[in-house]
Amino acid sequence: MSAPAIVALFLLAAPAPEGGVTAAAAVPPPSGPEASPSARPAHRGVGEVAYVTAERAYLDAGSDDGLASGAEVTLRRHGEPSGSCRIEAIAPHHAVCVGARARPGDTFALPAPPAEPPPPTVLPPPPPEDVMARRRAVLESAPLALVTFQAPPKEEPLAMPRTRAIDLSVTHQTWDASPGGASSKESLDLLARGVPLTSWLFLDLDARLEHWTSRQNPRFRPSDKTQVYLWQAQLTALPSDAMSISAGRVLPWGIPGATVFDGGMVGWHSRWGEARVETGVFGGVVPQPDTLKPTTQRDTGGGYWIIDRQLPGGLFRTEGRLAAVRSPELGTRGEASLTGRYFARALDLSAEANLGAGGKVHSGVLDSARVDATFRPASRLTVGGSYRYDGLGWPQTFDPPAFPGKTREADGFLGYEVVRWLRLGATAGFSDDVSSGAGRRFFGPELIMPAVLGRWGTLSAGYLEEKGWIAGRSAYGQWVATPWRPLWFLARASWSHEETQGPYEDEGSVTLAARAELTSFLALRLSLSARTVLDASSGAGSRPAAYSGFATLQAAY
Amino acid sequence: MRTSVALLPLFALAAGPAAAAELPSISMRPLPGHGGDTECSACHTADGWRPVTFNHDRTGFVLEGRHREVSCKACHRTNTFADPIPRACSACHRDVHLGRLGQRCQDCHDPTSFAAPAFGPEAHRRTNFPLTGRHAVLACEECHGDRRDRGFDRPTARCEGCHQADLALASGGGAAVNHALAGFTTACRSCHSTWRFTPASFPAHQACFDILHGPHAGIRCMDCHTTLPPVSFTQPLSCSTDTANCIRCHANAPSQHQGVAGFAMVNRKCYECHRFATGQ
Repeated sequence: MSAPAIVALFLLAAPAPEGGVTAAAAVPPPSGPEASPSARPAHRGVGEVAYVTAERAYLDAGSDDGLASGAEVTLRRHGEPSGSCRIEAIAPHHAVCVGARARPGDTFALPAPPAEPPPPTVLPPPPPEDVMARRRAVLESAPLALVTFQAPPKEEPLAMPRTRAIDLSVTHQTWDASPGGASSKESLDLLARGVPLTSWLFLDLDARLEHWTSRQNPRFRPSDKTQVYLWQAQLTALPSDAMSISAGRVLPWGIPGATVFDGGMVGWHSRWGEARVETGVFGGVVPQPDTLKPTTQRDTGGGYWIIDRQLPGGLFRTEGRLAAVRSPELGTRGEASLTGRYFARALDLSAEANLGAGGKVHSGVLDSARVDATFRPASRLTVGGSYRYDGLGWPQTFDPPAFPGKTREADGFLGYEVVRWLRLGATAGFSDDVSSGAGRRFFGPELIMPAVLGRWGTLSAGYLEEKGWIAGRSAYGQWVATPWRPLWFLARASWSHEETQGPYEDEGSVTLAARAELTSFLALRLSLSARTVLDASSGAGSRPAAYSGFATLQAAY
Repeated sequence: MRTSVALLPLFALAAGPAAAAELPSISMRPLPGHGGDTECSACHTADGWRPVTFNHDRTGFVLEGRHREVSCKACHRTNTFADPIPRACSACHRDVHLGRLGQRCQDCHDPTSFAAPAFGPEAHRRTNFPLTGRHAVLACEECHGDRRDRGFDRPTARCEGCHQADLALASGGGAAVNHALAGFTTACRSCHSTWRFTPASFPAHQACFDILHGPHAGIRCMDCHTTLPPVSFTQPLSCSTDTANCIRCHANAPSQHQGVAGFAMVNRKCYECHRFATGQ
């Protein structure tokens, strides 16, 4: 029999020192007003080792005698100290201790018993009902007004509130195709938003370091295995609530149509009625579009405004820009941008237009425009869509092309929650390349069953019929589960058919992904996707296949 | 909470008959700063103000990912839950794309991180360029080379926009068929797939001889043809080029054609009969 089992048997079955009642059969002592102080046993003062094993001594005193688990007990033999042991397990009248070469009959001193609890106070009976009624009437007739709490008005800052965040990600990505070969890349992303350097100076940083360990047929920067991209390295000073000054590599939030530049920006913050207004000027040289290296070939400068207003139903924001822009592709031209956005619970509406004049290329004033809308007329119904027009044909000064061309795109969607676990949706849209005439249309249904499997999953499936210069159809089925909070899984299978005169028409792919929140600030993401052709009869040679995957470790503060 | 619960009856009792008549509704009173008809017990328990137990799913905006970690005030900035707040991501978040990709951030990002986009080949089918074959296993930056604005603008819909070097190779004698001499256009998709350049199909060839199905499926041009005549894509393909060398592989044809009237061991005779041959 194991030692713990012996200990348990001793504690349960050993006779009580007084009265011969075993612990297992002991009746709980009386409690409450019936309990009498005279029922407490007299303090013994000394306990005794009942018997011993090679490692343990079994004592005839327990928690009722003042011993506690973990306490050190000093043993005495014939009046002389013989060692000490530590209480390992304890019952009301017995205990087991370890750590001493004890013998039966060794004694030990018992601590003084705890002080007697004070006798319970017996409250007087409640007053009679007529007395209570009289008191209530007095209170109700007292001429005191209701005390109300009025929170002091909150002083809203003039400048938009700055959020603070730091994200650091390490990623390994790989792509492999047969035939074709493998490419792999390691990248380090650093994102710091609003990091306070002093009480009035803040740092924003947005950068990526990439290293290609292998690369097949690169199109851009083929000879650069290691690449650094710096989108923002911006110091912002707030000398007062009414002014902000930024310098460095500026990512101009809120300036529509603008781009990253190396220079400075000054903004003045004020109020116009209930609206928060920021006006400012900016200027600097614009980095290269493919490498972000500084250059003097491109520059920009101008003014901007941002107006924010909290309306009863939502938030209204309008932004604008007037600027002169110089680039090798377009020459020197004047540009203007204007946006209007309204965000509410039932409606998100956004419109944006970019105008341009002068330079080498003429787009008919309207460079680009887009409208986005999402409408939730009922709690179960969502309808939305967007339209985008790009009218500026950029001359391509380097290959492969990187700039936008003339396009028209639109899409719409509709979602309806039939019941809590079933949503039906549909989507449709088109995308036209104006310069080449190539265009596509697509439409199809979607079915989502949120949490239909409880925490084990949301199921969804969709189908898309596709027309146009690359016609075909596609479908997917997906399972997403969060079995317990730190983990998230996704599995997706998809199929596509292309109406091509080439050798392969049908493809299938499988994607598996997982995310684990290792701590509150550390997360791991894994993803693996594989695809192959499904029409095996097509053409000679082996069946082509490919996979891609990534692993990301992300720390966020 | 305990203090407030204890004080509330005192306020009610001390407020006179009018206030006492409102006693049953006093638990519905908003706490300072919350505004509207906020019901305390919807979020708090008698054990204390924290933790807050509000089930945000009922609002229709499920708190997922990083949204679970932020304080209520991070979104409800007016210090009241009565004011409606927008649901659009860009109402709270700054957009590194500077508006170029619209306002529906959730189409590409999930609530756990902006750094790991959830946009894949399935979503790309809703553009003008569905990703199939090897295009589906490329880094986004291999096509979208404008790294500065992160706008993922359309780079090109033309194959030669990215495959200029491959076209130059095929037109300069670096491929089995010299595309320039053969008069091939840049309608690459007519013959090639997105998996690999070879094997390729030649749909116009079907009018003369089936090379999409059967034992000749995927066969290379120069396995049959001694030379390739120029092709005019504006005219029907001529089947009488006299350049197909059937006998090179089918040298045992005479033994298989004993008794066939008109048989002769001449290439042209082969495809006069076996124009759509699939093994017969």
